[in-house]
Amino acid sequence: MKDQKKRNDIILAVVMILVAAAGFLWYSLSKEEGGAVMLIQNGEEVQSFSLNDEVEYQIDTEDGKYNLLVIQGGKAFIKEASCPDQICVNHRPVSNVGETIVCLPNEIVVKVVETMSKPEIDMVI
Amino acid sequence: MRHHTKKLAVLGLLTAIALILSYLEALLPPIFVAVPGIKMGLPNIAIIFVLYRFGMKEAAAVSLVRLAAVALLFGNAMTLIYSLAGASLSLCLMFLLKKTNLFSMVGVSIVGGVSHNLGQILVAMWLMETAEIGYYMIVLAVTGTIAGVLIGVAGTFVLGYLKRLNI
Repeated sequence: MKDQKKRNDIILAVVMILVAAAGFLWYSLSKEEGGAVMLIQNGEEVQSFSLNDEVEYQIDTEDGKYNLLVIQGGKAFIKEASCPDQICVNHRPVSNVGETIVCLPNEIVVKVVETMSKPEIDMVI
Repeated sequence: MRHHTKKLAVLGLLTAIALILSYLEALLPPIFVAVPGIKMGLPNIAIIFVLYRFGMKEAAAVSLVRLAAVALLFGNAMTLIYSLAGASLSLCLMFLLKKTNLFSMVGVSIVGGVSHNLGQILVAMWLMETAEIGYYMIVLAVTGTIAGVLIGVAGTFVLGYLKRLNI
């Protein structure tokens, strides 16, 4: 009975790893270079930026919190943030479609998308 | 009566241990900075011990008191939602899996570790309305499994030792 349980434990662990491996395979096969990042605040899309530009944009929330979003060399990352855990700041730069940087305390999501959702203003006359 | 008092004292002690382990875990540097939320789940040693030694009701009580204390001491209402979701999904699945009697404490603890992450990710997906957060689950399934094995082995030792001490 004890050996039976031990065997079941091992099967369970292997199945978990296999599911993760399948998920990873599916994720890496379906990944593609993104063209823009979308900024989502409290579940609402507020703004998007092209990954081809060099951008430094400070996201301010109503209660005085902030995240500093930087786009450099086709990758987006958070350079500075007011949150206590700094998880978003430590997150590696993102550039593939679907990749996200999440700041839970400030309720901010930076998400890589294929193209800009709003037409870019390329000239103001 | 004597028995009841002893049980109460032991549960109080284990709640304190779970709380200290939560604090200890928060002090440790992040294991892998690219993916947030990777934790050993140290408090689960205490929770899984209570589940095996006393039962579901007692484990839920210890878990709830720990979560409330952690939220009051180091967190806020927001972090409480996440930890509550992770802890309740984790405890319910561990309880069901233990009932099947098909797995040892290690298997139960693996499911506990992975489902703790799953509960938090599901809440994050729901609150942030961003399905892509689910990608984190790929890495968290692996780290949750590894952490679950370690916690399960540790919990097996703890259960054995404390049984010998008649606790």
